[in-house]
Amino acid sequence: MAVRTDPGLRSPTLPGVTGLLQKDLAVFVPRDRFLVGLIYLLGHPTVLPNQEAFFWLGMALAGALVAYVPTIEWHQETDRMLNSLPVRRETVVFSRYLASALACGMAGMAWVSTGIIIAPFLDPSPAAPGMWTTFEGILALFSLAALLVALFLPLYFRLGLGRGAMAFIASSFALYVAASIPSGLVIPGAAVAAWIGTMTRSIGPGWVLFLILGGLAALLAVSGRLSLYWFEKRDL
Amino acid sequence: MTSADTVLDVRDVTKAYDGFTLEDVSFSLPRGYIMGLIGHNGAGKTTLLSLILNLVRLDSGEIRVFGMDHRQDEVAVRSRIGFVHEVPTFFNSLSVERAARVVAPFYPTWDQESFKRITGEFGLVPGKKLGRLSQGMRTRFALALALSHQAELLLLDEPSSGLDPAFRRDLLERLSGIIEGGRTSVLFSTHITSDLDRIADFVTFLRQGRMVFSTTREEVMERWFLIKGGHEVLRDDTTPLFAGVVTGEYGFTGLTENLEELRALVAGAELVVERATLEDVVFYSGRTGKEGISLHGRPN
Repeated sequence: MAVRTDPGLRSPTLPGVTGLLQKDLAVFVPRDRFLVGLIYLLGHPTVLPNQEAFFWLGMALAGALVAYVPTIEWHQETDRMLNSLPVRRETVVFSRYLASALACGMAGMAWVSTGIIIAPFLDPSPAAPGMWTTFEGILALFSLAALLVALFLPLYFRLGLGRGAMAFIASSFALYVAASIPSGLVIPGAAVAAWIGTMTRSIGPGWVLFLILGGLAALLAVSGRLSLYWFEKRDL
Repeated sequence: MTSADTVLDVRDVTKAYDGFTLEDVSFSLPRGYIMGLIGHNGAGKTTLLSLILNLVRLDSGEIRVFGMDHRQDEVAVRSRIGFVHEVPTFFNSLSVERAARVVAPFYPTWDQESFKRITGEFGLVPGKKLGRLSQGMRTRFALALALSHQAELLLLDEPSSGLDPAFRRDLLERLSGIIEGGRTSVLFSTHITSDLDRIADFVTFLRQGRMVFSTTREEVMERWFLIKGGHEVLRDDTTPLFAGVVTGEYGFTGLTENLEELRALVAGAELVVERATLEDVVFYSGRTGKEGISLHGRPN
């Protein structure tokens, strides 16, 4: 008797989502919260002379927060236990995206806050950390973070963290090369922020926000469907 | 048995991996009974339990739990299942108490008082980190979770393998006590067949991914025999009657469910006949013996 591989898309359940988010919070132990914060703050003296590095420190913080719980789960092999709980895989996938969004939000707030605090002490040139607290700077950070999350999570759900992370690094690099070589586009933050600035002056901030958020929402929706498709098929 | 009495119904379940296939497994477990799942390592016991929990995806077949499809209604199904995996893992940084608070919101029927009582009985210290628990204590913790939300079906994968003998016995008595109410059923895999001698009502035997039988323990005891005799008994017409044979220098020991037929074929030969224990069934079934006699399984 044949069975359907795909039981059909269903909505994530609220108790499942809140339960999984509470789990993520419980797993992120105070010692590691402190360590992540400390490493982030200690990184600033090193990166201040280089504004791109300042941008990437914010991205690294977002990446660390996004990957923290999946890393713990992979290392401690909790997949079977967690997926034996009364939650559907749709809920697991949705919760991981939501947790990643919250992680990026927290990283963004920390990054912007430090940018605001640090900026007055630096040369207010366009490339100084202060530029990152502008509309285009913040949007550049969130756009690139969302892009990387949209790329990382399907690979994570398809391959698990170990092979998924390697595939992510390889595909990120391939994406960078594919985007930068033919078009001459430089992906790093300042270039993206500058491009958003140009667009903003051209069509106005409302349209830029609408187009970028709409594009990212579509990208994350495709990424989420891909994650679910692969995770649904995966044996744990 | 009416469907309302059937807690777990597994029909024609097949799952193929590279080099291993669990094939056409069918059995059902009535409410209020304990079923033991036995077989050698790699027979497919963990795969079968994983299929029931929908951790592993079916290739074909159907699994109904509480009358519901285990995939379509997986949240409703799993909220009524308690499970213990062969290697219980959870977040090492969490204490016993904190881990329970993480798990509790997933179960509407979670009973914190039960959890406290059971962990106390199991000797689990609420503040102790899971990462500092031994394998046996982790199994106890997983059992405590499984028993604290009024589960109607317990799926236990080798639950007694990491436990000391005293706690193992305690666990078996506890499982017997749990089913006394007639509400809860237990399916547990084990290679310690003496555990089943104590408590199992039904036994399902898997060998190399195929189900050899699924029946009551009493029927196994009545149906299977251990035969000892000389080599002359093992002829072309008698060998197919054995489910397994081990040969030695002076004779053989074989497992059969065809005692009368065998006796008729070798009338006059000296045979020692004993009722087979579950351990005998597992040990001898499929044995190729020292001299490589071909053997067969006898699926239902």
